[in-house]
Amino acid sequence: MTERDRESVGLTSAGQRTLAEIEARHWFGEGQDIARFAMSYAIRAGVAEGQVAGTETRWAVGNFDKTNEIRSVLAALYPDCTTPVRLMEYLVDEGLQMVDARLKAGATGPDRLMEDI
Amino acid sequence: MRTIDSSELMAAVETARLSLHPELDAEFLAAVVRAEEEFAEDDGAALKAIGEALAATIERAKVD
Amino acid sequence: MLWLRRLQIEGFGPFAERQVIEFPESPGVTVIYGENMRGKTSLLAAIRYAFFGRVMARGLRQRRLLTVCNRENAAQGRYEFSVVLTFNFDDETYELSRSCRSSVAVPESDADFVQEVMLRRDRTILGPDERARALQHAFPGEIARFFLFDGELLQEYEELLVNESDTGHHISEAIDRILGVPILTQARVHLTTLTAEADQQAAREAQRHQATESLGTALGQAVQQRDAHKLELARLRTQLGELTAQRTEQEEFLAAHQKYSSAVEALDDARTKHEEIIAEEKDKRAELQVAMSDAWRSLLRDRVRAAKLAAQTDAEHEFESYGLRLRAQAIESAHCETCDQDVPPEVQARLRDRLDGSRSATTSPGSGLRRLVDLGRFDESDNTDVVKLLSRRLAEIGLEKVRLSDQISDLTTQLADSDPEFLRRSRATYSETVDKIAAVKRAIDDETTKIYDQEVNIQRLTQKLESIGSTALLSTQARARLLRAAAEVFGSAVDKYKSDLRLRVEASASRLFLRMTTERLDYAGLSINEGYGLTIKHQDGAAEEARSAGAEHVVALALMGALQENAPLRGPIVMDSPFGRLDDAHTSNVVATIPEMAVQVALLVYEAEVGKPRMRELLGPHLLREYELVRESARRTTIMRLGSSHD
Repeated sequence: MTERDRESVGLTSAGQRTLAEIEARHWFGEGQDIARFAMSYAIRAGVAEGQVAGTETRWAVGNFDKTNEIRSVLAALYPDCTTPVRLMEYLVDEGLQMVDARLKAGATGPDRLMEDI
Repeated sequence: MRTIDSSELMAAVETARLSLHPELDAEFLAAVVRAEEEFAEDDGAALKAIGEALAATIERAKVD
Repeated sequence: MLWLRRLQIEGFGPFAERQVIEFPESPGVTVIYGENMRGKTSLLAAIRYAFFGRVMARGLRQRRLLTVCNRENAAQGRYEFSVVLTFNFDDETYELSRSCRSSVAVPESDADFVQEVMLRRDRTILGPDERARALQHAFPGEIARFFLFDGELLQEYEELLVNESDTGHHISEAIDRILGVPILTQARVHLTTLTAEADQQAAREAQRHQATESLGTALGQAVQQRDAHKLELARLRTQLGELTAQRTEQEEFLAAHQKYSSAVEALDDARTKHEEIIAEEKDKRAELQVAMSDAWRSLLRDRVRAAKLAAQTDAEHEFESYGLRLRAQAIESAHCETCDQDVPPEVQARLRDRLDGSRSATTSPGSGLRRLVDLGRFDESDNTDVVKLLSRRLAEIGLEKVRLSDQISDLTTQLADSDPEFLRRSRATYSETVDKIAAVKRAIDDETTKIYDQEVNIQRLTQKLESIGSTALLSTQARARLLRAAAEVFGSAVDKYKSDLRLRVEASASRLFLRMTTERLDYAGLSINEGYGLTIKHQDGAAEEARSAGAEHVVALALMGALQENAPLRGPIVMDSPFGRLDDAHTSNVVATIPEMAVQVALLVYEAEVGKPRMRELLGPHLLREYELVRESARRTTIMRLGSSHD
């Protein structure tokens, strides 16, 4: 049976902590911007399809992906995935962990995060 | 009476008189210098002395 | 001319018991030797005290009377001192006595002392007014510095050599005073005052007669207006003087607090920059946040492009596969669904051969195309450069904030003992004073022009009146004319006198300077400017720009001697340790030149400056009398006359 997709994007408690730490640096205007950035970070790093459990809802997918670009890109890059929102959530979580590690390793600004890894 | 050496002062006054107003009575100017030396700190007394010297000069001019 | 004859001093400074110095009656030098703390400065102070009733300390502050009392006497409960100075002036002998005693058992302030002064002229004791006039005549306070001076006052002379300084300006005015210039300037002022009165009188006289009434009225008004402008001019000049004094005071305050003043300025500057940089940080942060909201796209751009390429290739393969499938179907059914034609056997065979050699479709039908369509929805904009620029600027701002915070913290600590607000107000007040001075100067120029215009008008009206006036009017006009002419003469005489005097002072100062300097071959003399500043001239005509402290000293001494020579008012010179910064060669030259500087000289020296044998050799027959200040105890000095001089 096809698994049912989610309708919102959530964060684990670790992910929320990381998000809060990044928010405190005032590089982003909103938490969603951070989440999208983290998701892209993970995709750029080649993270494979997966899922994460134990998340607490933060954003409705209609807000998170207003232009449908994310859904389209995920459909193209992860063609076997049938639950794009769960994938988004997973990639956000993975991305936050990677950004956190990068910051702890000394990345001093958003430009550093955007440089090639 | 003061005996400071005011000959240099008088010489400067005389030169100016000859240059600007040779018709002026030299004795009057000398009297003004004496009044200023005598009453260096007293404007009223100096003015009075100059006034008296002026009257004497005018009187002399009438006689002449 | 003023001539000192005798100084008697008791209870003053280290002189516990009555001590006397008798000055020689003929021209020459009296030398008083004394080591430090023996009373040389007290002798100079005692002469000043006798003339002016004040005892001055270093920095021209007035000393408290308690500190003048001899300490040995004070320890025994006797708080009193006196000075009796006998001198000649204008062929008359004066005895000036000034005393000071405590009115309480143990005085604590000047208010606890009673001072008395008496001036006897020959046998007559002068009343207070006559005493004041006589002393002012004999020895005016404003020019005392040119006769009684020590190293500190030589420093003031040296200020004169720094052109444009306010102290130099005051000294310059004092030099004008000693050279008699005020006699001429005051004469001009008084004559001008009398002229104004005569003009008014002439106007009133003219108004009495019908023929001259209207002219008289016009003249009266012109005179009134001119006098009103003159009053205003005088007020402005007074105001200018006060503002200039205020500015000087403020400059001195700011200079004294320069360290704090600079710190306050730096602190204000740092705070302003800090505020500006915080504002910029806020703006840049806002811009960064906007940029970062799209940054997720920039991160995916390369990945999406690569995926697009792959999808493009896959789509092409799919299209090719589709073509192959159509061909396979055509081979199986012998019918082409695309063109709806039967396929002949030979064509079938050809198609079969081609189909065997080609690739099979590897993707599910349409997925490449679908991916292309999906990826085509993605906005490929890249703002990596924008984010980089903003991040770097924010990093710079962060560092700058820290630097400024540290600077603000340091400066705040530096200013902990001061009152920065007061310093700020002082600077603001100083700026206001400078602006006010400029405004007052403009107003003075304005009033001067108006006065000139009125004078021209008065002249014109006066000439008209002269052609039609009565005898009485002509008489008052003649009076006014005479006074006006006399005022002009004195005005011109001031300039000529000062100019001639300056040349004579320059010649005298040059001569004395060349006697005292050790560089006679290199230097031609001194040249003088309008403010009596002196420049050393080389033989080649060039001015000596960089002067040592010693050179300044010698130039100042030369000026002092030149003033003595050229002043209408003559008197003795009393010098306290005048050799401060001079080397041996210069000291010898100065000592040898001293007899030329004044008719009566008293020199207060300590032996390390010039020993007795050397002094005697250098002064020769000019050395008339010698005294020594002898230490009896730390608190008591006696004055002993030495017997080997020419007196």
